[in-house]
Amino acid sequence: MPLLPAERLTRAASRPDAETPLLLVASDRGRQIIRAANQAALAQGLTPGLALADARAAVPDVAVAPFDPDGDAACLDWLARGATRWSPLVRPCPPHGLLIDITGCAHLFGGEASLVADAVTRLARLGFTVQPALAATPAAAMALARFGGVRVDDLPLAALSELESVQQALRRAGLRRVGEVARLPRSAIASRFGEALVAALDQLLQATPEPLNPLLPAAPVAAQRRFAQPVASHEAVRAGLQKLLLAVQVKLTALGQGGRRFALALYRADGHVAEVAVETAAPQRDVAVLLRLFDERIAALNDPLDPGFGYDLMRLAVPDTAPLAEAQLGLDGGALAETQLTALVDRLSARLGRGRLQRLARADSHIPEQASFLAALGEPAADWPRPDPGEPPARPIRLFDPPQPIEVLAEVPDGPPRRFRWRARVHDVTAHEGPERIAAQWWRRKDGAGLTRDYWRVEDGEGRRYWLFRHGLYERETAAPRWYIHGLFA
Amino acid sequence: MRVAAAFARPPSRPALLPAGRLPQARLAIDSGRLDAALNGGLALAGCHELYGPAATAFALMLVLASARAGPILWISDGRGEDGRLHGDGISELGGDPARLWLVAAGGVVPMLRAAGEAQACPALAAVVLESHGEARAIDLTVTRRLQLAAAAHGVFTLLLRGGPPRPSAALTRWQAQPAPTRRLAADAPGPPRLALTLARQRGGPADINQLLEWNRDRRRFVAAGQSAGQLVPIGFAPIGLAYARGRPAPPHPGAGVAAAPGRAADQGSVAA
Repeated sequence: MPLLPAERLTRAASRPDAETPLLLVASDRGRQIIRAANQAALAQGLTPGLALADARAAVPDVAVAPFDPDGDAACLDWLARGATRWSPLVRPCPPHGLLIDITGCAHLFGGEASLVADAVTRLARLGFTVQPALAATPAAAMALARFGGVRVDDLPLAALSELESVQQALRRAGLRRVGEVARLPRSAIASRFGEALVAALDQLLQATPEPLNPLLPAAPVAAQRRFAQPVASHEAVRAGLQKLLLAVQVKLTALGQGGRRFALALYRADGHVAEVAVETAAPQRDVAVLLRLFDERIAALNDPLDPGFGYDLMRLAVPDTAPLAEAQLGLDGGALAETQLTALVDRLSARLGRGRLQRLARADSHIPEQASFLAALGEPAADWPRPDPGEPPARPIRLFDPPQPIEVLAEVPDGPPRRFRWRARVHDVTAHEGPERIAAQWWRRKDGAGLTRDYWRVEDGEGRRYWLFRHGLYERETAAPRWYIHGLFA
Repeated sequence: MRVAAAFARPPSRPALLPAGRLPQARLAIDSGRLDAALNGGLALAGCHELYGPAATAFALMLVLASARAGPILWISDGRGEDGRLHGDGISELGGDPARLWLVAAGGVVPMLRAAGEAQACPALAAVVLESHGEARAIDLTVTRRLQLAAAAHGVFTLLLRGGPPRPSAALTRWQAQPAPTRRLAADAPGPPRLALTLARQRGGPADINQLLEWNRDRRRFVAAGQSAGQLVPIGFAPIGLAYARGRPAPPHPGAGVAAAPGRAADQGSVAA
């Protein structure tokens, strides 16, 4: 799509005046240089590289807009997602190309030629000029699209190398076409023009396979439905989704697998693609369960699905699968409880997002706020130390992270707290236990420093219990140790 | 009371009854005045409201005392100002922090929706809803829905609330305050004590105070004033006590301690 930057703006502004020359300019050392233009501008000789002032002198009536490569890349990405309707293997090729690997896909559209025609029509409807090309390798397809032609051999030398010096050297050797270069022995090319040229030649001629590195990884299991008439109603979409889930279930059952992630792509007739995905805690292939998860996910979407003029293609992919044996109900009910809990986790994740479900995890650290942290529920559970019987709790049930500074009155600077002020209230300490000394992690610090904490378990006159600490040993580490409250006991 | 004790801790459960959630199961709390007022104990298939600064601790203790298998789903509507739950502290209360599943719902409405999902899952040991502030969205209708779901699926549901008490259809309403503990050697604070008030009970007596101490090793409350050595377990309660229900309620076992001046001040501060 050689005119993508200009056509994108025309489309975004929905301005039908393709007749007005449109120039996209960027500053280059103080001068406004044309970086892209539309068909009308090109027809009048306003080509990229020209200064805007010169262009205005030649054609006074031009529209000017800033050149925005990031916007172009986003637009290309959007088009690439839409292009997954033709093949799952799609890669955007900046600045304005799309590579689609149609191996094994063409027959679904009635052959290669009609697939290309479909692509050109759809993109033209969006307002994009397309130069399509079909070739055996990605590099050859890109070169043919760029330079035109049907045969790789007829391509100009520029398809082989961007460097003017290399092209000139080839021309001096009497070579004008890629085909003529290809007939030479590779060793001779390498010695005269460099290894890079051989690599470029091989990419064009399929001597070396070039992986496509697609936008979306191909899913091991997928199903799709095409609608002759675009569907717009929620019920129709849901019915389509149910059929897709059934198809996927059959495939997964045959493989003995269950999916952990289900991605639904809804292709709108105007090229937009809406994507909705659900994840499950355990491998899953039950249609009713998955349909309910999708319902909840769609209900929880921030921007509701906008069918516009309707979806003409739905695809359900299962990018992540795991072995799933046939279900067997246990007699003890343990399996039943497990199933219920897994289903609950899935429903809550679909509704709130997976990151919202957490469990307390344990880290190997003496620093209290680092020893316990929140981890995703899927993480394996930690073993927690069992407290000594008969002792009162040594750790608070609620922890302040970070600890909150307090003002403390103690009889001696390194003695127990007698009275403290927290949240604008004064608390008299009636009972205390401590200190429990927790050293700083000096082995983690370059200077080996860090302040020791002396923890005290205290109770105030109202019976509330707090966990306080003095930060730093008096006189040995600091002259005026600060006090903090770190937690609340039961 | 012996009936209540039998329900609270079924000694042997039929092997093929996995859920084991008898709809009338009750959790004996103090085997004293509270249980008498609660008709044998706290109904486990129900929704209960907890207010006060010790509500978190009381909720954890109740769930641990209920001795139900399965995870505890702790759904929070956001971050309060009292810090986050601390795994080591829960383990120090006698719980297994790995059984605690935390859901950060991020708002009252998502919290209630998540609760609706959770209450349909009888494999949970309990559902705890933690709301911060007044949470006006939790009204009579919402609490009635919570109560009905808890009763229908036998899921023990606790609702932690802030602010002044609001109209509610929960079975009971509690005020939980920390209370001065007994002193250990060297004047150290002892095991946690709570000054509990059964502030409201649907279809039952209310306004009952009790001072209880949490025994972590046995995962149950003991009446404050009895030290660990003099503990009177429920199953072996003296016969005389078993008839206490018919008579006027005996004086508060921990009355001497409860009369400490701090306590009255505590309750004053909650109402404020």
